Amino acid sequence: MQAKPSLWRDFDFVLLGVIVLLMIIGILFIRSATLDAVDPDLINRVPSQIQYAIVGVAVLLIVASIDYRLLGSIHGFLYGFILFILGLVAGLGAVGAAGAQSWLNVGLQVQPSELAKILLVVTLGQFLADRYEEMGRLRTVLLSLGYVALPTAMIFIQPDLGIATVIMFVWFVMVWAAGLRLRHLGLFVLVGLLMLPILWQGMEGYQRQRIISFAFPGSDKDAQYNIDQALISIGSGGVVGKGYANGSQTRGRFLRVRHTDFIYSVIAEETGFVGATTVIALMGIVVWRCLRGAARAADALGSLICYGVGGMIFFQTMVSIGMNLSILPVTGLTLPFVSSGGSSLITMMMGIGLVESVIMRRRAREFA
Amino acid sequence: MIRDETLSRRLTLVGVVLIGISLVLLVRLLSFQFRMNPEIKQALADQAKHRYQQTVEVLPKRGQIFDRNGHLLATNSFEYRIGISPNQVVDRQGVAFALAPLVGLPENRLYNLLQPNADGTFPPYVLLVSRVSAEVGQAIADLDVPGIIIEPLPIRIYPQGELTAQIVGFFAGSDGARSSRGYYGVEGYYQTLLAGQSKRVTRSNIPLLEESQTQATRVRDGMDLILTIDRDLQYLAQEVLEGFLAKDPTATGGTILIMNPRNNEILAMANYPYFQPGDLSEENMKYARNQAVADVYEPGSIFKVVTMALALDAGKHDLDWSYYDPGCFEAGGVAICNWDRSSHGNPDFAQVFIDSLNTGTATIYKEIGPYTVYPKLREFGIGSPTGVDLEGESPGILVEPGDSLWSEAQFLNNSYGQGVSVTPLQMLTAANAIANDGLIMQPHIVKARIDGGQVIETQPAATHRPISEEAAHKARDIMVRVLRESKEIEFEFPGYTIAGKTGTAEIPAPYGYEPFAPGNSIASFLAFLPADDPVVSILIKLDRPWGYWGSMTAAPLAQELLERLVVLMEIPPDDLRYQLVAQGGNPFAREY
Repeated sequence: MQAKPSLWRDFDFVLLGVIVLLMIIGILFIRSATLDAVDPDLINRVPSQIQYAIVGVAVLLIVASIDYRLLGSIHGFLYGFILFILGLVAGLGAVGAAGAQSWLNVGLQVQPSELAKILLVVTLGQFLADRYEEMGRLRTVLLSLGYVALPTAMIFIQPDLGIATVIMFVWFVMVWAAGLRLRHLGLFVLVGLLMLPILWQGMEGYQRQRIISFAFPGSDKDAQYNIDQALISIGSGGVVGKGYANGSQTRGRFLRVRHTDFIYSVIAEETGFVGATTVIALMGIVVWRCLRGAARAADALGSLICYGVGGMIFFQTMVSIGMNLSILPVTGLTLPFVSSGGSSLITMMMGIGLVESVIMRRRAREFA
Repeated sequence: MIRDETLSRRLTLVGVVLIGISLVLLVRLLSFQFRMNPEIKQALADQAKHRYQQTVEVLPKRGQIFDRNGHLLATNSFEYRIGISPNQVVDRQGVAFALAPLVGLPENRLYNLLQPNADGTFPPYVLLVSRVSAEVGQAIADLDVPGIIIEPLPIRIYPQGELTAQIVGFFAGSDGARSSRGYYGVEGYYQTLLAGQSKRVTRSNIPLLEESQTQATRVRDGMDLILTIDRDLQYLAQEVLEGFLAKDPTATGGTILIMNPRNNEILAMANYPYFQPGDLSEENMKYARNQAVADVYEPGSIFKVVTMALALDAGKHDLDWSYYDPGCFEAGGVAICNWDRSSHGNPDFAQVFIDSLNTGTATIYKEIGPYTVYPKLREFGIGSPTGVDLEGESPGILVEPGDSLWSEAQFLNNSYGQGVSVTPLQMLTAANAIANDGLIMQPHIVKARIDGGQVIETQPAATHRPISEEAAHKARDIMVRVLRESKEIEFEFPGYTIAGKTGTAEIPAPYGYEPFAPGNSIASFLAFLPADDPVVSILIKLDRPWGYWGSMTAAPLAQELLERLVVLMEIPPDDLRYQLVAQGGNPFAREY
């Protein structure tokens, strides 16, 4: 006896509310960052971000209304689809703004790697849920690694180091949640360290440059410039900041890619410590609501989906803010819900839709 | 079921790890915003300030200069300095393409100027061109390029050109407006008033913040100045002077000074050679100084009017005084001789000046004594700057008892204007004491200054009274007789009573004076009219004329000058003037 209204009764409105708030903050500061811009691309950032936000909320509601178990049941098809679109990018991809071959132009420009990242949460969730009892065996863990390694490698060679790293982190969170053994964890850490030189070889020049300039500040003046400017911005913000649309670093265009990668610096400069911690707190609430969903999920698939999405949001937030605070290298990862950019926003909203789908259906178990 | 086992156990651990990482971020954020080393913070703030602020001097409008009738002598126009803030330029190619022809740079060079530095930073300001005309400046402004900075640079224009160049001076500097100032003449003397008060503005490179950061003291424009100079009289003086010099084979230069002796306003001050305003070449700048106030010379016999006046004032001499003229006599080892080296019998006081007898003036000085003469000469303004409001005035040279160079012979020489050096302005100012009933007014060239809408007139002020009114009138009458009765002076001016004196000065050379020969004298003439009610006084000084004698060169030139001057100044002949006075009217149609 499941009437439609009862399905939405458990919908997490706190989660939706916080996300809408984050998107509004994002739009406000994208506006501040692109005020009196002359580049038509920058001028259009605010209106398009508003459109993306509206579309994103719609996507969230649509995905939430779809039963995640239905998606889980077609995981094989979804996995095939992921490989297909990533293959398309390799074949006829468009060159994106940053020079990476990661955009696919089909009507509206979508970034297949973004879509792949969110779909992988579902398929990996189903993959792990199916082998839930065998998680103690190294074979299962390696199998799951192979499962994500194929699409991750395709993303890595695009190249999109950021998203590849996100997927690996999500894989780790989900495998860990599913019951990864500590000695297997130790093994992975060891192998990972040994793999580093190979990874280094596979990197593009600019990716290496970012890591070098992070590890040895000042070695690359151009890369160091971005970091210095971010630090000047954040450091000069003080307690309450310089006021909205009054950040001299932002208005003077000293801060580069300020509407995406360095949006957090804009917020910190113009609203100070208060604004900067507010954003971290709101992000914390989002992650907390995701993990709360994981704890209350009806089944392993639901729980793993929530872990995956929460882990993903946490990781991207941490990397983006960490990059702004100069404790992590510059990766080009966006701040979820806040940074300008349609692909990232829509896929994040899909992820939240999945979490809501899990949360809404947690009672199903009681009636089943 | 499932979540009860592994999943929920692991959830706690995941939560702890996540909160831990979040705390790292928070601590890092805190350390940036609150615990940053103050030195680093200051360095960052300085760097930030330097990057998006620049201090600009907003220049006031320099005051204009007019003649007494409102003719412009100096005014302003603008050129423009063009710079750009490259960090605000997005479309570098487009900007380079549009700007290149206007700023006169090759397109690729301009494009490179807009690029960031090697370290990835942008310079806050790049100078594109230091001077463009107003038209080009406007064309650049019309392009509306983001980040372009157009600064107006005032330039000075002198509509009367060389005619008033030495009076007005010039405005110049090595680095456009900022370091420019006035030099010489009025531009130099009134630099502070003309310049006004500039203000320093810290201007933001960031358009939105500009308003809040440009609050500074107000710019105070320079004052306008109205000179006592009459452009038409100036032109007359210049034309007469140049007319003479053009015909004379040996003359090298000269000065014509026209003043109002009643208030010592300078009506005209013409010199030759002069300079071209705007031409800063060394050759041209040699003549930037105004010879009428900057150059000294030994005035010769026209100085006898001072001797005459101070003798009449000192009380030992009056019109009934006479002496025996030997033609030459020896004093202090030096021969004192008349111009013709011959005796004129027993001349009386007036005849000494009518015939310009050196033995007579020397005798008079001898009888008065140096301790009366020199203080009087000081009162006449000899040996001190007149204090005229022109830059570059010379004080002249007066050697007095106590100075090592002083001697009795020198003292007696002074009686006829040798051994003493004056500027033309000092000479005429001293003579004007006679015209002005014994009172010397402060010579000046600025009639009024205009500060905003307010006109501040210069108040004529007396500086000295070297002689009594009675002495002045007696001296004046003798000067009238000089022009009427002298057989040597070539000067005829029927209808007018004019007081005057000619002079022929020898030019000092090493060990004495240049020999008597054409081109080796300075000939001069001074006069004021109408003698009984003076409104104008003139001084003509001719350097090295062929005719040698002032009476034969400067006097006829003065006649030519005065014939046109009385018309220009509308000074009526005596009979008409007395008629007008009898009718109770003002005989002088024009106010000077």
